[in-house]
Formats: sequence, C-alpha cells, structure tokens
Amino acid sequence: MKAYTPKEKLQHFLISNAVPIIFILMSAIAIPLSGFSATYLVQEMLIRLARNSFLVLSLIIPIVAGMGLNFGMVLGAMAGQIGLILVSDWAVVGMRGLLLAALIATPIAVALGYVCGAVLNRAKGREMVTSYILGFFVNGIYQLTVLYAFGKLIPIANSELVLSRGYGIRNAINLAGMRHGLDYLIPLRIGNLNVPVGTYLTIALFCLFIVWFRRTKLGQDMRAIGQDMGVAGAAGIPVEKTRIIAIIISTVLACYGQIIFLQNIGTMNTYNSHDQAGMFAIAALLIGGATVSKATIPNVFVGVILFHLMFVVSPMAGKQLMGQAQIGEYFRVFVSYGIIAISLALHAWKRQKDRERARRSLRGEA
Amino acid sequence: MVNRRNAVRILLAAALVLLGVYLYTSGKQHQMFVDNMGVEIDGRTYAPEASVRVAFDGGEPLELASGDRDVTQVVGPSHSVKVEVLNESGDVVKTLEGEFRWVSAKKGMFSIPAFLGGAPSPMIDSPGAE
Repeated sequence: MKAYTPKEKLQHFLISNAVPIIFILMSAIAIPLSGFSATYLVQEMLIRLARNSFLVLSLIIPIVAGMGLNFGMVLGAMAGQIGLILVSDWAVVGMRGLLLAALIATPIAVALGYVCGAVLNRAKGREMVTSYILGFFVNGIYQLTVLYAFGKLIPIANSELVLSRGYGIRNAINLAGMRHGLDYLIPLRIGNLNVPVGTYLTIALFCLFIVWFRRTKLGQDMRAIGQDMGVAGAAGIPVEKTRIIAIIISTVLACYGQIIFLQNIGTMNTYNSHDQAGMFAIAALLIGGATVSKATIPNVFVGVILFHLMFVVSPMAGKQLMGQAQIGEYFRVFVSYGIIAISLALHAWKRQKDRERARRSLRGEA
Repeated sequence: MVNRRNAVRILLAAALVLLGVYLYTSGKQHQMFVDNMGVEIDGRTYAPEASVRVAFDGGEPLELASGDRDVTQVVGPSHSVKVEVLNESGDVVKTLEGEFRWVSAKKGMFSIPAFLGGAPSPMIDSPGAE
C-alpha cells in the first residue's frame, strides 16, 4: 500500500472537514462584526446546546444502520407534540408533566417509527428522500388530527387550548407550567450564566446509551448492515427487522428530543414547531462534519455550536455590515438550507475521490 | 397463549400505565381558592381572623384581611401550609403550620378559619359549587 504524502493528508483532512472549516471561518468573521459579548454568546450557546443536542443525537443510529439522514424524525417530533398538547390540557406541570408527555408520546412514536421503517424497507437506497416525503404525508395526518379530532373525538377541557369554534387546537400553546422543567431541575448558576444541568445530564446519558448501543449485538448488526446489506443478510442478520428497529429508536428519541426542545422554548407552535425540527437537526449534524454515512457524537456538539453561533451572530453581523438585520437573517436561512445541499454534494464528491484513491493505492502509482 | 415473554410484556405495560397514573396525580395543577370568611362545618362556626398571611408549599405568601378571598395554584395531592395571624401593626402574633390533601375541584377552597380552628379538613365547597 502506498503511503500518503503530507500534501495528500492535508488535502484529505480539508475535504473531510470542509463544512466545519467553512463555518468556523464564517463565525470568525461574523462574531467580531456582531459586537456581542463573550458572556452573552457563551450563555446563548449553553442554552441552545441543551435545547437541540438531543434532537440531533437521535439522527446517529439510522446513519450507523446505513439509512442516511432520517428526515422522518419529524414523525417523532409530532408524537412528542401530541403528548404535550394532552398534558397541557390535563394541567400536569413541571418535570412530571414532561415525563407524562413522553410516556403518552412513546407508543405513538413507536407506531410511526414502525410505519416509517417498513416504508423505508421498500425504498432501499432512497431512504432520505422517502423519509422526507413521508414526513409531509404524516404531517397531513397530524394536521387533520389536531385541527379536527382534538376537541371533537379527543376531549379537550381547557378552553385556552381550543379554537373558538369549539374543536381544533389553537396555533400557539403556552407551556409555562413545563418551561425549563428539565433544564433547571438541578439549579446551577456560575457567575451570570444559568447552566441547564438537568438537560445536560440527560444528553450525557443519551451519549452513553449510544456508545453502549454500538457495542451490543444489535448495534454491531446495524453497523454490518450499514456497511453492506447483502453481506449482512448472507451472514444471517435480519436486515429488514434491524432497519425498522433503527428507525423506531430514532423516532422515539426524536420525540423525546422535541419535548426537551419545547420545554426549553416554553411555547409550542402547534402546526409548525415540528416542521423545521428535522431540517435544522440535519443541518447542524452536517455542519459538525458528519456525512450521510458517518456520524459521531463530537459531530453533534460541534455542529450544534457552529450552527447556532451563526443563528445568533448573523442578524447582528448583517445589520453592522449592510445596515439591516434582515439581510443577516436571510443569509442564515440561505446557509442553513444550502449547507444540506453542499454537504450532500461534498459527500458524493468525497466518495468519488476516495474510490479513485483506493483504486490508485491498489494499482500503485505509475 | 400467555408465555413468559408475553407475561413480562403485560407486566411492563401495566407498570407504565401505573407510572402514568402516578405522574398525573402527583403533577396535576389545581386552582385553589383561599378564603378568610366565617364558615360553618358540621354545626360548628369558625370565625375569620382580621389579617393573615398564608403560604402553600413554601411558595409566595398571600395576605388576606377578614372577608377576603384569593386564588392560587397548587400541584399534586398533598400540600403544606403556613398561616401567620397578623395584628394591626402587621406583626405576627400566631403561626400555625400543617398539611392537607386536595379533595376535588368541587371542594377546591381552603378555609383559613377552618384550618386555624382545627376543623377535620380545611377544604370546603369552592364558589362555583356553592
């Protein structure tokens, strides 16, 4: 095998980490322009890291199983929201309210995850686009349920939740009783910074679960399927069942992630909150240096920090640079969606380069 | 057929349902009226205090004069209460602490005179149920 030259190694490193490097450079330019203090940015990052990490972590398991980025995580987000609507109606507050919402949402998320996994088994090789469209389909069912079934078929006693016509849920739900129920379960204040210890402990447990899960028989089966479905099937691994399990786990975890996300925000936009959950979580993961076929826990944290750093500083940087905060905001929206396209294109390009390199190293340089 | 695996599943499902019931009862928020008016319970009359300060579950205290009624939120089935009776200059002349249980929304009013007078339960009919 041919040893790589330092130039090739550098090129490989730059190609592998192109997206995080671009974002680090953009942040390095935007932070001084925004004029925000370090304390403010650290506080914002602490809150946003707690708010989003769980959702982003839920994407790792399907990637391990070779199913790509699970755009179908919005199904889990919808299940979580249904749990939160019911718990808000029953006026169960605090951490108990969040746990009850998770308990109610879990069977819904399992059922939706099963449907999603079964559909994706019929669309092998096209999982990402299929799960993306499936998200739109289930969104329709969710809207129908929340707009017509709630208050009619499913009794809702709290008039503050129901539309004036007597059925259907209002556009915005105040989660004041559950706000920061997990974040500040263990209150910790360092100087001027509030640290959401409860959420960080939950995220740490989830990280340990992922590390442990990868070492289990099921985790190893998923890795084998992710590398080559045909070989895994020939080795006796139940490919389709394992893929369904991967999607169910991801959907259930996305459901918990959405509950954690919304308890941090304190308000739920009934018809839109779940819409962007998938897109933003996927963008954050890709910005952290993950690809369609490989994602690690550090990718999640690097991605969430870089993505949300851009969220915070872009409007102010735009205002300082162009005189309008809206320009910075447009830029951020453009970047957050564009990064998915760039990452997918870079992934395809990198795979082609890797294949060429592998061919060259096997052949020997002429 | 109920084999070992199915039995475990049924037990797990039952445990989750029980957990749900526990979370619901212990996390349910109730709107509770707090009343400082004279009340008659089981033939015995309890007179109001001129001025009291009352705090539930260590929360923000409410101040009520004789004949006042206020509303607060309590979470769960059992609660602690601290009632301080104040004199005309606002000094505490008597403090009584105790515990009580939430009965139902119908009996959703906490009577301070009943609590201070040692009634079996300080919870009386709420205004809507009267």
